[in-house]
Amino acid sequence: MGHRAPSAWAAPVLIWAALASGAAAQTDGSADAVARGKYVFHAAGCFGCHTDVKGKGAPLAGGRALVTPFGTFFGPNITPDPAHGIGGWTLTDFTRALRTGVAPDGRSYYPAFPFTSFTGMTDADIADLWAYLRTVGPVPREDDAHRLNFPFGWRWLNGVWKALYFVPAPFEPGEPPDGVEDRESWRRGAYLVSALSHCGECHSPRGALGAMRRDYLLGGNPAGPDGKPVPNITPHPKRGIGRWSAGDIATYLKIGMDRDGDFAGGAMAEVIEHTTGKLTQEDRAAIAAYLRALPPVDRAPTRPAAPPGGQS
Amino acid sequence: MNKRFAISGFTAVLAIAVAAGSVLAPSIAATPGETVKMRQETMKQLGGHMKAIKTFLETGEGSAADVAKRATEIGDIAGKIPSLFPEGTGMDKVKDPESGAKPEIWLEWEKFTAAAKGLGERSSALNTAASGGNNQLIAAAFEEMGKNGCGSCHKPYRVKLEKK
Repeated sequence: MGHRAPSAWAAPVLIWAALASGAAAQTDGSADAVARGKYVFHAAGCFGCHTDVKGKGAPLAGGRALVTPFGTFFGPNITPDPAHGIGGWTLTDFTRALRTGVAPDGRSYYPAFPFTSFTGMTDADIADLWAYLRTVGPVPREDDAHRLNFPFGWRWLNGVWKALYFVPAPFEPGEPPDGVEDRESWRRGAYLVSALSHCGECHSPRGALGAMRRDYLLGGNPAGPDGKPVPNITPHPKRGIGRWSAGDIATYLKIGMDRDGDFAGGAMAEVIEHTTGKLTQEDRAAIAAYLRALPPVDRAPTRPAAPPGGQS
Repeated sequence: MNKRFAISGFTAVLAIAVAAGSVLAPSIAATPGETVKMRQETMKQLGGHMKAIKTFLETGEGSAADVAKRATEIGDIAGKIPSLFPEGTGMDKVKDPESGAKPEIWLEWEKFTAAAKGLGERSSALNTAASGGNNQLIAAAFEEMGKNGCGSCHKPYRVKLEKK
């Protein structure tokens, strides 16, 4: 008897909440939103940069070092701890951080945080991800200060950087190229690769100021995380993965086995474990479909990109 | 002259051994470079089995019985992994041929050999699944073996070398 009572008033309250704000229905922290958010969390690869696995740190409590040509970044704490994590944030703060790279206190993030890709995330994905992140155990761990090379320690430069290289915008996949059969799958793949799973952030070379070279998108990066070269994943037959079938790509993303029967190690093994291996078969197929329809980039990943403006 | 003959003789024996599908444990006589070469050939053989099983699962080419046989051979290789990694054959020691074996292998030898043993156990599970002939179970056992068998060594202990 007693346990039935709340539903008598809970239903009208929920309806009111839904009517009061269009967003409320998505941000009520319902079990559905949390479950969807967990999937978004995997697809967005948050775990990797926000968890210090090597130092046996708590999940999402930050501290993972990301070594780049600009210095070493440390992923911050994104657990709901009010003092050290994002417990004091609102969905609006969270959306602004992902879409525009601006923290609640108004400071700009470094582009090591892939807001240049996350800017294309859908409202629904952001709200669901937020619902999920609220359910993670709070960890009172203080963030480490980034250790950056001169002059990148001047955070205000990020504002200048953004003015030069960043346009916040919803993601528009455009039309698939000729020959793509499943257009819906291609569009989903485009969204995953370009926005949510932000593949280009590691697989594209960066210019002198750290902006992704859009002219070599996904064409490999001589200096990826930890200073290692990251392969060209466009369908160029020699330089890229032109010889891989859609099945080869999907298998690789699921279990880490490449076309030679060899197994991934390093940073991609982490991505497979925490991101692509946790996606649905359909999403892996979508990524494969999108990658295979990309314009092939004729560029060896070990060759540094020409300086910006060095080619027309 | 003699030395060159000895090396080419060794290579020939190695080639025959690899062609015959057997795995040689490195003898005391093998130089670190020869050991690295031998283990790379062995890993290629292992990769060949993995590829063939994947092809079977994707296209039906081959047979479940063939998968079972390959699973047994993978198990044999797994059993020989510790002997293929004698001390002094890591990427920090051997430059010709280049090796991707991290020095951590010898710092965490027990974990390393446990991982190789794990591959052996998973290959037995794949053999069982393949003998049963249910493709879904074969696929599951194959993926489990790849991800947590092969992967459990490649993730912590191997650096992927650039293809030349």
